[in-house]
Amino acid sequence: MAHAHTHDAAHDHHDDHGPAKGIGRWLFATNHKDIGTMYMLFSLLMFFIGGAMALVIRAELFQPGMQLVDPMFFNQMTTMHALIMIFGAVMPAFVGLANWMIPLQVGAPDMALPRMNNFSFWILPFAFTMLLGTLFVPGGGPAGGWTMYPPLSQQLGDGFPMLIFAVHLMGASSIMGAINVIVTIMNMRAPGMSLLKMPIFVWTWLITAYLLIAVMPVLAGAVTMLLTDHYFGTTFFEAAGGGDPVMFQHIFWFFGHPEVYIMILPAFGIVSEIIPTFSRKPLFGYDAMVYATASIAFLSFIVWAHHMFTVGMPLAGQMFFMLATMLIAVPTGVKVFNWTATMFKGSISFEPPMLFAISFLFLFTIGGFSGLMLAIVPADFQYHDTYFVVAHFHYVLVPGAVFSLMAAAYYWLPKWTGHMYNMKLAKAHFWLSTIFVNVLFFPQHFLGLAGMPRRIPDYSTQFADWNMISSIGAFGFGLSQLLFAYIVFACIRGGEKATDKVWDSGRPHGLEWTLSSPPPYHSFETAPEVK
Amino acid sequence: MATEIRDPERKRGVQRTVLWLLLIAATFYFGFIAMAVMRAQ
Repeated sequence: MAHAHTHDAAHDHHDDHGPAKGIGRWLFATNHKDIGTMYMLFSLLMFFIGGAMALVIRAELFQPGMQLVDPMFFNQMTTMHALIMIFGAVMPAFVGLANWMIPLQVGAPDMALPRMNNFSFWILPFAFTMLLGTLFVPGGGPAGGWTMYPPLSQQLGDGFPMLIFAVHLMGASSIMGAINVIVTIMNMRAPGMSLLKMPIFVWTWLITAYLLIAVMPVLAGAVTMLLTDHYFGTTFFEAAGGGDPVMFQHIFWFFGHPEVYIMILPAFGIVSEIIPTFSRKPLFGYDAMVYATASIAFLSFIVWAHHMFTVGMPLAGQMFFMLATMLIAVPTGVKVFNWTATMFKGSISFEPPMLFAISFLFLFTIGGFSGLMLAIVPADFQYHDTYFVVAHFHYVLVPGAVFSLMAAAYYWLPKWTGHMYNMKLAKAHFWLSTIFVNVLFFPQHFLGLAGMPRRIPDYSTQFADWNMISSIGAFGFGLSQLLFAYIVFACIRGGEKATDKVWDSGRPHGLEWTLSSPPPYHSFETAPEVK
Repeated sequence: MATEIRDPERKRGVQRTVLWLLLIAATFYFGFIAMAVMRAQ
């Protein structure tokens, strides 16, 4: 890993071209920090909108019977919740972090393509306004699940072209963001920073960006074909015209499985930055972490059909996809081992970022283990489309991806704003989130194993107790996140001054800590030396 | 104002990387549609 030595002269005379005044600063932003901030605030807004939809779902499921919403609206909520959380909350939050941190960590003044950076952010509000707009047109919003399987998705009303266009825009935004990340990392690194000296967060984002370049066009291709089937008389996925609806599922999951790793690899990078800082030890097995990340990315391309075991496929196909899926546990196990080994005999302290990172380590592993259970073909025939699957992927995505984002916010927020946040409130936020996330999702394993199907607004009375507990957890978790928003905005407004290294008592490591808190508007105009 | 890359060699490197990445993205987009077209025939 890089040992950085910078000189302050590199960043102390930029008063002549600081931020523009007024709304123009944001509309025409080309500065990586401004764009990163916009991405993260946008994702926070989407997190609350998607979260509100989750609460509608959990309120309806609080007890058996139909209480609050009609089944069609319930289905719209499950579909929109997924689309908004995946494409609107988690992915833009990681792109925002990439924008803020990659130039700081590789010693660059900005992203390589700042104008495209502006464009890739600003198409997102249009995409999500259009997606949310589907709720108000005849036929309502998409209700056939985020996977948009035909022929169900073809039954959507006037919202259909809006959904397809919104997905295209999200894809274009992601591809442009990924191009920017790769180009910046490959061309803008400080002299002396070879690939195996890059911070691990940069490495995980580089691999994630390649995944995005490969699979977002596949999603775009799939929804383009849905569009031509709907309006231009093609029958790619229509059995009546000689097409094959199962082909859509293969194409979708060729995108969909790597998409899961797009949402978790940067999380691995964040945790790999935080654990060494608060364990006061270097990351154990840096090279192994890089190779493990690359292995997971490669394997993610050859496991897609494990989402489709029950659709029917030859035995050889079942065996291949089952074993390839289980193989992912090997590089993932390397990572979990290395994080644990980093903490072993370390002088650990429990600041909020470390608390979230440790919680990630335990709870993501639960999601990984339930994933292994789902990889087993005969078991998957039992678990498929039950709440066990819901529990599994929420353990991966909430205490996995979302907790890593909160850890990142608590880790780098003082660097970004120049202020420390309220530690007591942040720790309270951590404990409330960790307790309620388990109250929310752990009972869903039991519901799934007992046979409760997913995506239904009503259920048999035998599932009542665990559903009630899960709904209580959902409201507890949702309300706890208001505390997170308060802590972030209070920190932006002011607070105790943060030092340049921020975590002076810890062992922060990397170029970002050599800059002031907050960093100058243009980060490194003279490239730092990396030894 | 956007930070401009002034070093011509680095600028060429940036352009080359962008072109390669666009080519990869276009290949996946049109490649998957082409596969679906071939399968439909």
